[in-house]
Amino acid sequence: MPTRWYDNLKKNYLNMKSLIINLLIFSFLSFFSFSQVNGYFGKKNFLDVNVNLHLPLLYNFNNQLSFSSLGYLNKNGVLEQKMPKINTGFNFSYLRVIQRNIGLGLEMGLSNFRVVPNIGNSDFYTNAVIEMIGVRKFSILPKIEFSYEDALLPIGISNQIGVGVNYFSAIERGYIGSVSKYNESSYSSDLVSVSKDNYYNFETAESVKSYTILYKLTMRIPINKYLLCNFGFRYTFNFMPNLNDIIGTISSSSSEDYVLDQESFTRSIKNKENRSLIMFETGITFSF
Amino acid sequence: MKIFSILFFVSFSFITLSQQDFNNFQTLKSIGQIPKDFSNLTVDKIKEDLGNGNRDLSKSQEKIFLEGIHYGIDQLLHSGMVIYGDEISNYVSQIADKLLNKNYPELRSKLRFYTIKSNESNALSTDQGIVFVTTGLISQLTSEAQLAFVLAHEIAHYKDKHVVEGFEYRNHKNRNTIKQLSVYSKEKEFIADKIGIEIYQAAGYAESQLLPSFDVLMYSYLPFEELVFPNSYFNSDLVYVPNQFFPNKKYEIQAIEDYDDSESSHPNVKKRKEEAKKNINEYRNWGKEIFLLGESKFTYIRNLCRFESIRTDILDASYGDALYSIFLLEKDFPNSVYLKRLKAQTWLGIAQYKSNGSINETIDRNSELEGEIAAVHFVIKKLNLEATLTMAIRQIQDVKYQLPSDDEINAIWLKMVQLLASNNKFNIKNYSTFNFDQASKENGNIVNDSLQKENSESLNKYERIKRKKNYTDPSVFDSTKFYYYALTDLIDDSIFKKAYYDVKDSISEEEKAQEKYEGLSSSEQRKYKLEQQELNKKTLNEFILVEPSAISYKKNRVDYEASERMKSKYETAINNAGVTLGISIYTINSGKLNELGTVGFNERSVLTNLFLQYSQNNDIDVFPVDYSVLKEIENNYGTTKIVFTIVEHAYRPQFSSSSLWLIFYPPALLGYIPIPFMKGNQTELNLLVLDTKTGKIENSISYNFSEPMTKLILEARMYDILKILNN
Repeated sequence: MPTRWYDNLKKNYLNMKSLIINLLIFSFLSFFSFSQVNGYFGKKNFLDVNVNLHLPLLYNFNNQLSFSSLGYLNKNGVLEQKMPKINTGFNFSYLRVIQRNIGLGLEMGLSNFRVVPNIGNSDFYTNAVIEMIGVRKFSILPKIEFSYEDALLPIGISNQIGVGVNYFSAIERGYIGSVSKYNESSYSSDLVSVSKDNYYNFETAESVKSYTILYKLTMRIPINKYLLCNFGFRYTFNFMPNLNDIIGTISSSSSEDYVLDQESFTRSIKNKENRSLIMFETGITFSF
Repeated sequence: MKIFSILFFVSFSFITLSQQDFNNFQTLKSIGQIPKDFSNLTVDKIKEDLGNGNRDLSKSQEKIFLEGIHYGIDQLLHSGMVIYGDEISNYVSQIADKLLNKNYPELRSKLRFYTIKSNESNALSTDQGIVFVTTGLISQLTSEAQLAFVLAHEIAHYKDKHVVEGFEYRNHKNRNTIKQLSVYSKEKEFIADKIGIEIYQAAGYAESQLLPSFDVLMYSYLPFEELVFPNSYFNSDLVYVPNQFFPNKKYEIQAIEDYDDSESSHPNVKKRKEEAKKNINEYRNWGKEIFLLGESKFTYIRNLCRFESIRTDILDASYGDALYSIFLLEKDFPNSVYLKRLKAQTWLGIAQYKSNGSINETIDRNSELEGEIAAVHFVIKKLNLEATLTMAIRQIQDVKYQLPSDDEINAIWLKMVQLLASNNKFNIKNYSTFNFDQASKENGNIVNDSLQKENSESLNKYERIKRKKNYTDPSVFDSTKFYYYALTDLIDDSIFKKAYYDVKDSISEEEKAQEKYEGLSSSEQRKYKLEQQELNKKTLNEFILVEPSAISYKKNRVDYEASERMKSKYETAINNAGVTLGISIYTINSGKLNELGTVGFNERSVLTNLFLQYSQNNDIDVFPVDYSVLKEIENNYGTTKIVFTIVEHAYRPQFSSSSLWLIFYPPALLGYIPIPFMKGNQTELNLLVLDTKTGKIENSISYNFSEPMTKLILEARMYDILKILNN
């Protein structure tokens, strides 16, 4: 039975619950600051609502080089060899100012992207050409924000550093592709193209968890006493799980479906994440 | 005839009534409607002048010239030193009428005359037709004719457009000070003298006053009179200052006519006199007038300037000069309350600077001592701290005896007592119940500084040493410690003792509290600090905001237009932040002069001068020289808090060499490169809160930030600053 992306979240719920509770306690403690913090017109709490844009140039370039990993997109039911030009996402980020130039925050974000699947072949099928898989990434990371000595957060330029967790889930829907099939009866090498739908089996593909280190450079400019606009760049360094733990977990299936196994899925994510370092981000900041 | 006599009497009374009473002198202030020179904005003046004036300059040169001239002049006009519509400005105007109305009426119609309250002996004219004369100059003159010549000289500079030519000659030098504003080439000075003599002669003034005018200028660095300062000046029934504290030689006056003028903007006096003689000889029909407007009028005007000069000396913390000038004027005005108040202020200032260890800032160096005034500087220097403190309280107390119910004197007295009590060097218990005369007689000495004499036969070594230190014992007499015999009246004075010991007790309590604090643990110390912060919380619910000084730089040059805009932005931001926080802010600035009128202009001048006074030495809580006027301002606005600000801004992105490693990681450059540009705005704001009730600087803050100076960012910053000041 296909898993929902949030089912995987539930699995890690207990871990996340304790994480969030710890973060909240941590943030709450920051209310007890001994230094005088006047904030932005008296406000010390801020919520960033941002969109981020990523140009997967490096990932696309890398896939162009690798003949077996070409990316295909669904163009009205027809596969087109094409890589997505832009990935988007959004996030919410809460900031509590504890000193004039230091704040503590928590960020939660959601973004979508596509990966070229690393599919294993069965005995009778080969030369698979498959649509890029949609992946949903959920991230949560606490962070610290700091600026120069005389800064008044959140105005102006500031740096953010965080360490967090990402959860990647494949988006469950129909994907199209084409495969070459051997003639079973003749065992000849004649190849027959076959298009199939829904031939991914998600049962074995659980969500992938990775750790990330974030550095973000943000500029916030006031619009009025309650709103600021922000923009900046975020750099992420991602640490994927050890592939040795999941190699060889390909399960053979008697069905003619191709299997997106854990190893393949993880490799695909890793391939993508290792080449996704910089994002541009912009949004609105609310003060309260 | 009877009616005529009555009318004459009434008009005479009116004239005398409108004159200052020197016994109750008040600092000169502007009168009447604000002239456009003061009320028009600099930006508008530049726009109006561009393209007019027939200057032989290119468009960009003209813009730079006009910016420099107009902003420089406006800085002077709004400095708090310039007045209009006052008796001196009117008098100078009348002399200009005598000089020009008959032969140069058109020229006369273009000129305006204002007075600068400065002890610098100078006059200057500007390209716009403004002629300034300083009170320092008029103090030095001996006749109206001399003033007429100085004016004629300055008018000649304007007539011949020397200001523009001087701009080309000097090539865009900054001219913000009075000196720099009046600098021309030496050749132009000769031409101005020649034309000046022409104008002077045509008005009918006497030839005999021309060459002495140059003498006035040569010796103008000295006081306005050269009278011997007697050693007995400070003496009275209660105090005697021995001769050993006065110089035993005369300090010669060093000025010479033929000094080396190679690095001076003006030709030396000898050259000027020689040229002037040639010019004088060109005319045959010289007039005989020395006082066209009357000698008594001139003397009156000069006295106004001389009285004003003491105030300026105190503003500049030139206490030696102030004391000598008071001595000079006391001869003619012995009952002047103003002089008494300023004497008390001067002594308080001397005591404060001596306590602070910076007395040399207020007196001349030994190498600079010249003339009779040298004696005053010598004495101030010679007195040690204890002696100075004693002399100060002595002089102030004597003034207080003469004016016991004068608020200002009482305030000065209290401040002096507080200074005594907080100074470890002063101990009232050391002081003798005998005055100098009594003590010296008790010791068998006459009052001529003979050495102490003691009966040592019955005493051992240690007893003798103890007696030497006990000046309450009149048999132990040391003339060098004359001050121990100067406070006989105060030792048992209940009012003095109460004030003195009140301060002593509070200092002692503070010290005990400090000792206790040092014995506490870190958490207890933190808790104690919070409690103290809460107890000593200073609120700033309302204040007077004096026009800030704002300077914006562009490419290392002052950008005048940007500076004006920045000033306006700052004022708007702080007012808006005040509204948000519920703080009442009363702004006094150039932009509101039309609304505030001359009253506002005068108030701003007083407050600006107050700031100048405090900025002489940040460690000293000076007594405001315009104390009485300040009280009026407090009553007017209902607050004693005054805020002064200086804002400076420049855009200077700075790149760090340590970031060169980023070239190995190009993606990082994408984020890093914009940072220096985003942080390139460097704004520094220095804000000072003065409480005129306590006479202390209540709070000060130096505040920096790197964001662009947009309206909202500035307002957020002002909000932060006001919150800090309120905590």
